[in-house]
Amino acid sequence: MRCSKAQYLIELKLDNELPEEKGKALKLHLRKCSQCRKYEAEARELQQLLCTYPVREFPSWLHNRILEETVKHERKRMLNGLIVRWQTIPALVAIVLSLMGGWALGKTAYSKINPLPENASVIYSNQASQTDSLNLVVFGESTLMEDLFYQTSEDYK
Amino acid sequence: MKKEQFPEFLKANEKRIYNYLLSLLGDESDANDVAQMVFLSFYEHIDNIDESTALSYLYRIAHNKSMTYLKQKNRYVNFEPKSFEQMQDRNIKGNDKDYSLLHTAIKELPPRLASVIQLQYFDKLSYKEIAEKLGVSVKAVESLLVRAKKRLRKNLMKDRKEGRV
Repeated sequence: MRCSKAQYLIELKLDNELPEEKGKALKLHLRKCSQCRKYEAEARELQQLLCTYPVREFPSWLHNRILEETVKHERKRMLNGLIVRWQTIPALVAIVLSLMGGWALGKTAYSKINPLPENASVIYSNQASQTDSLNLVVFGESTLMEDLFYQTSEDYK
Repeated sequence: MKKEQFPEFLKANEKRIYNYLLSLLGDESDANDVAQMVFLSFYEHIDNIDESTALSYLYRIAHNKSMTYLKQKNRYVNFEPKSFEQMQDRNIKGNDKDYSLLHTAIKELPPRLASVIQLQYFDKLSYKEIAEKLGVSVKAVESLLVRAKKRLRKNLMKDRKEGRV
């Protein structure tokens, strides 16, 4: 057995984790190897020191403090979640209102510049069969296509 | 892991983490402060932590928080005369000196090796129990312990030669 292997087994032996069959082989090696016997003595000394190292109890007040902090953390997290939700609603309302307002303003401005002809719906219904692009449902709205058609119909007249 | 499991986990592991922090920081009040930070940090990320490796993760958090705490603490020098009275007596004799050297040697271990030493000798767990706690194999625990003790022995010899306390 090599010394490196023997030293590995010495550590297991000191922790009472060495299998019996390997223990016999280790015993034989230790009889012949003084270096490994010295290693075992040092390992035993360290073992003794580790086993008797003073261990402190965890303060009970600290245990309670940590639990309180986790409860506070949870409350804060829920509150932050609510705040984000509440802030989201007015933001969404503001966006929707801006879009609607912008659409209404645009419609008003465009209809002032390009008012619809009086017989626009009649023109559209007559020409509906000719082209698909003119097959629009008119509800008093003005579009670029309508505008173009109105111009061409005037030219035709 | 779930948040509901935290109180039970805290109770099961608070003592070993506290002693680990004491070995790293050497001061009770510092260990108290860092212990709070460690467990709160663990709680914040508990949903992403696997139960089998939770203890290893906790040891790593403890090590990192301690190192950060020590770095920040060393930036500020306390000039109060009281601090000199509270300094440790360097002329420690007998067994106390050995424990002090051991404490320094454990402090120099990486968190993975320090955790197996603590579980084996302070918590008196078997190799199988340590393997279950850390989520590794028994062979891995054997290897870690052998490495840890070799390093401890090396650090102890070095500290004794340098006459460090």
